[in-house]
Amino acid sequence: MIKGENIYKSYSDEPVIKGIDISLSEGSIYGLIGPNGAGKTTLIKLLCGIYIPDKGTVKLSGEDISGSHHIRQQIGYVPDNLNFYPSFTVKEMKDFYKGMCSEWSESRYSMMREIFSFSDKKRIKHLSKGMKTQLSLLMTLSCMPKVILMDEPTSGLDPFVRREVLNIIIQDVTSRGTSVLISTHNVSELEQISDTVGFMDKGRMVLQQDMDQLKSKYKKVQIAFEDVMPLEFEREFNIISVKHYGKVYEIIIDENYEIFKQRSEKYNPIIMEKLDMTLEEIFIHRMGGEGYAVKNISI
Amino acid sequence: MQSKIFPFNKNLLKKDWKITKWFFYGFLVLLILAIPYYIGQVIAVFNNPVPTENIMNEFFRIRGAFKIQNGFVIFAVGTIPVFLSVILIGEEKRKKTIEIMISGPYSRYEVFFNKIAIGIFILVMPIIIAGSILMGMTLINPVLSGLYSISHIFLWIFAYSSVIISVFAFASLMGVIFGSSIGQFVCTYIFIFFPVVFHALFMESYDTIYTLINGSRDMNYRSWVDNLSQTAQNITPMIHFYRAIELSSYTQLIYSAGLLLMSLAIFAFSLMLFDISKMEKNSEVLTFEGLEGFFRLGVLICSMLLGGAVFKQIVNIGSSGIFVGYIIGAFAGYRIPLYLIQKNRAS
Repeated sequence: MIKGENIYKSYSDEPVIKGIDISLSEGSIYGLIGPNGAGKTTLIKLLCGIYIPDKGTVKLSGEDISGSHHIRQQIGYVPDNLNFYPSFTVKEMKDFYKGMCSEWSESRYSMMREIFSFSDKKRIKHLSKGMKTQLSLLMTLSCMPKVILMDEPTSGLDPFVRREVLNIIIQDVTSRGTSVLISTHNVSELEQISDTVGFMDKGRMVLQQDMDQLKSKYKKVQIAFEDVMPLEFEREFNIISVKHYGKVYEIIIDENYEIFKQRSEKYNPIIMEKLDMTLEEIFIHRMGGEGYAVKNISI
Repeated sequence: MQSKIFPFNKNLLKKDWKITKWFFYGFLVLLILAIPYYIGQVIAVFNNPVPTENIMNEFFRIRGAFKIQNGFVIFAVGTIPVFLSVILIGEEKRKKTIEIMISGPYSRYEVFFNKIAIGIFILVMPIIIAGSILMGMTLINPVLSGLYSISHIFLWIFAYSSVIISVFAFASLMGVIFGSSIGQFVCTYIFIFFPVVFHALFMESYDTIYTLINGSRDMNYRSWVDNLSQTAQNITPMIHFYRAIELSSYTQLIYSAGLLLMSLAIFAFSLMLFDISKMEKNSEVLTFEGLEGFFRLGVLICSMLLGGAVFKQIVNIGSSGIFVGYIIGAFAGYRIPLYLIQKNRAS
């Protein structure tokens, strides 16, 4: 539905986005993960047409979004820093969005209004950060966009509202076939809802894969031998990471576990057990490989 | 169907009106008090059956109501359009609220055009209302109609509207060029006075150095100075504002029309610049990277000349003080813009 091809963007002379290809399909949720400064916010702003790429294109339904402001009507953007007019009341803000969005749904607004606890008469400057996030989501979802781009949408929300928000997003995707991109540091949250996941680092898309494929690709295996891990074993398998606690080794492999199991029998492991990796573990592991290794500092 | 050249948008106009309407009401109240109310109060003296000794003073006071002597109006004309432009453009860029519209179904042209449209309405409408009230007063008061003709009031409306639109156009251009509200505000005032002030600073240095080298001011010195001074005046916006308000009716008309044309050109140029500006540069000192060298060099030269003039005039250490001032001014002029640019650079 929305497709970015070979996107480059620099701030002054510093490249921030370096040749990213990204595609969001209809009725799916794309989770964007990356350390601070990876370029996630810039990528989102490029996708929604606020920034213009130095090179490359962003197209929605085959039409360039920077050239056509009408096509941007189909994109909903939930920013990380919530940019509202502080002197406006909730109702005035709603009226502004209503005037801006041709597909505005009053019934959806009223329905979602029941979840969020602030009054229509309240001024934006008197809302907490969490309330402003709720308001931003409320406005964006009521605009009925085809694509929703969310930059840290659940930060600052309490667990109950966060669950409600995620629930609404999932409902919107399933009922209307919306394409959603969510950037967040809360990796476990993404794991529950994303169909596709992208890891960004230093302006590049380090990894972009279907969630199920990604989780089946990486496996954590606990393995122990009579003695230390044989050198031949280490050489034979593509072991990505090794940690050991006494005789027990915790290794990460990126191959089919059953084949691995069969091939490792000849080294006579005492125990061998497969553990599923969480998305967070995969992320940390991948980012560790990109120079973000967690430092074990004792204080 | 929406016009492509004049893309008025009700939603954008309504939004901008909501955040700036208090400028309209404030300016309207101030103008009514400073023009029709004030004139009505003074005219009461003329209606007094026993004339006071100060009747001539009152006469001059009332004639000065349309001129530069009316400090309240001059202050409002010089400040309200700048603050209004800062709220409409500078603050929207700094707080990034402009991104809501840019990511929405509006073109940049449309967003900027509607800001200019509401700004002109807020600034001009109070002048028209105050002028209309005064016209009404002249119709019912024979003393007043003897003092002000309808064409006189029309000229006042036209001249003040032209000046206030020019200040607004200038501030809006600065708002597009500079990414911060403070930058927009400060640079609007600097550039309104810039050529004459720069000329004065330059002459301070030129005078000192010329006298040091030649011993006295000869004929060459004078002709050069006169030409430069005239040119500086002709390109200083503030001088044109003064001419449009203060001089004879015919000059007022010519300069006001000139200011309106200049404002239209500035608006067109600002629209073009806004259309090509990079949103990621909002909140940085300069929106256009290409201006960085020019900006830094400009600040360096001005600061150097200012340093020289200050040290020569205020710190009494003789003519050589100017060179000490140059060094200190140049150092400040080099470091300050560099610091401001680097501190606010997007990352």
